[in-house]
Amino acid sequence: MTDVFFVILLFVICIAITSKLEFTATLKTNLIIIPIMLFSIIFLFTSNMKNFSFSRVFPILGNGFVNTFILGIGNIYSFSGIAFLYFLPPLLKKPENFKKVAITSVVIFAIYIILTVSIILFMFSFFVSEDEVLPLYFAARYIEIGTFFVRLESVFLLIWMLVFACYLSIVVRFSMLIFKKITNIKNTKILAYPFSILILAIALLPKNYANVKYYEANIYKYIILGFSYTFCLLLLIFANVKRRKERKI
Amino acid sequence: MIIIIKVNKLIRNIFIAVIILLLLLAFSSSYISFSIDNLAFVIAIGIDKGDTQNNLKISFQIAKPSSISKNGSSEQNTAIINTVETSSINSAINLMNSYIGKEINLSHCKLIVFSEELAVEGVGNRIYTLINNVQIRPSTNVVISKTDAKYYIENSKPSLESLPTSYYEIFPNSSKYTGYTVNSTIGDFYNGLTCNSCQPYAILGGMIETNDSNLEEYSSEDPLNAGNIKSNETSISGKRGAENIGLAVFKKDKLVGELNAIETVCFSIIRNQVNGFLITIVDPQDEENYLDLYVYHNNDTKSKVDIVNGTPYITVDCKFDGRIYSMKDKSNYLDSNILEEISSSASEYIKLQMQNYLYRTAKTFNSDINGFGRNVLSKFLTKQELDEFNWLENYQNSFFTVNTDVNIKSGFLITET
Repeated sequence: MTDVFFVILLFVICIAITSKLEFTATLKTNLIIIPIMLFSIIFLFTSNMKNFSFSRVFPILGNGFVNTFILGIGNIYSFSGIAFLYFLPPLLKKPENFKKVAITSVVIFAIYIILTVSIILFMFSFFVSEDEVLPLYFAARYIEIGTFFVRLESVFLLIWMLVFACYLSIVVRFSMLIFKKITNIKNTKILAYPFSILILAIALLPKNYANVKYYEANIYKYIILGFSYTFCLLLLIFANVKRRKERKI
Repeated sequence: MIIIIKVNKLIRNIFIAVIILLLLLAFSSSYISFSIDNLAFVIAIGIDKGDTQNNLKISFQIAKPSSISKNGSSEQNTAIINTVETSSINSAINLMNSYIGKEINLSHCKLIVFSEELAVEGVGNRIYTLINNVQIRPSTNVVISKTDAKYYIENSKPSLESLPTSYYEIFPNSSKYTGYTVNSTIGDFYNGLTCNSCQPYAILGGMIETNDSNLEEYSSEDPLNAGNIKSNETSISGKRGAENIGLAVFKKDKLVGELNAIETVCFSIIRNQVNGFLITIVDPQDEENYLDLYVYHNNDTKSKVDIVNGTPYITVDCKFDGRIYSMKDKSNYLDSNILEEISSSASEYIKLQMQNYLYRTAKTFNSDINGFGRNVLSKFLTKQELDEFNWLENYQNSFFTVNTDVNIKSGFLITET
């Protein structure tokens, strides 16, 4: 088996190279890859429909009202992509369309989150008590169209690998933009290498899958909830208060 | 300035060359990845209880390239069976790897057979182990053999196909037009094991007996009881020794019972897994004669579960259409009264069989293989309430009402003789 270091290195080299190019190159690549990914999710949903049992959505409150709606509100960290919206306005050709762009992207994202969760919920009863490494990959293994189109999970993996690379490219690109604003440096392309190496180093920190799950559930979740939602919302409120005071003056 | 640009380009080119070299080295394991000649493809696995306590006897049916026999006959032995006794499936695979000199690959495994003796003790751990294997497909069929699993696999020689894999792929499809077996996969079994509202089931396999005296024993004098057969108890004689009729019923991971052919049909009706099936009823016009009817779904079977005083009350509604298969002298199926009589008899017959089947699953096996528990999930608001109700144990208290409506249309080509 290939060492995980080299697998991660493949992604890191990819994002280092894309970060050296113009932002439009990254965006145009995303424009090709993302629709393919969206289509793959719809395909996964429709081709697994024969294995669905819609009654698995019940009991509707799951582990109780408090666990579902109050303690479960923390699961909104899945919408971590909202953090990118804060940095989008200066990059748009038509900033007046920002509201439309933001709402459209959140709605599309919500639809796909619901689709992916639905696939796992309707297909398997065991995700309630057991955990899987890659639930969608497990669902993809069930797809059989006739006797020729079988073992399609490898195609899905290929698509998702490209999507990972696209996502990492966007993350590094925005990190470079933020760093540029903070430090006021002229040329950000040189930042591609240190950020890529940083991603490589952090990706190699967890020793096993249990550590990854721990970081996701206990660290990443609260960073997103704290920064993307709480901090940014407070910033917005204070900025509005300041603006109103200035207007009064 | 030009020199600086040239140096930058040189550095960039060196950098790209280093990265390419690094990636080549990183993925150099591809150079030693196994080609098809280094792999042994297992097409069926048989798991029996070992001679030593806690051991398993695992048989691997491995596909081999076809070879021409000495006398040039067209029969080719396309698979071999190797058996090893060990403590677990993975150690058996490991031992077999060293014995046969090729790496065992389970990507094309179509069948997993457990012996009845082992199934009674529980197969949960083995199922979890197999599902955890990346190579095993969720569509691999699971069979519970009434004889040794190895003996079952040895005798599963295809008579109409050239390859055992073709036979293993095709035979579960007979469930759609006979209903006498089911297409039970390891994915379904795993789902049933971990489900809190249903139980797992598997194909029931067995051996046909070639002794003529057994033919007399199992051949039914009463055609009405022809559906009471199951694997190991049929009057079939043929080239292939193995047969698959019936269904193995599990409670959690332990085998608790077996269903015969007609009960398996009832199971398939409730699960909407059968397109059509054959029934034999007493001819309403002549009680000494029997009619063969081919019945098929008009609509999907609908099941409804109500909780009445803490007891499940299950209603099953089925609607069928049908055609008359058997013809006799002076039959008149243009008369709508006669057709209605036949429809009514067929309806009563199916209703009786289904009620017997449902009460057997509830009172005898206490195993909800039909998945009625899924209909009861909506009655509860939280998982805690569902756990308190404990559907899997409460199923044995169920009462059933079966409503059947059969509409026999006519014969296939002849309506009057």
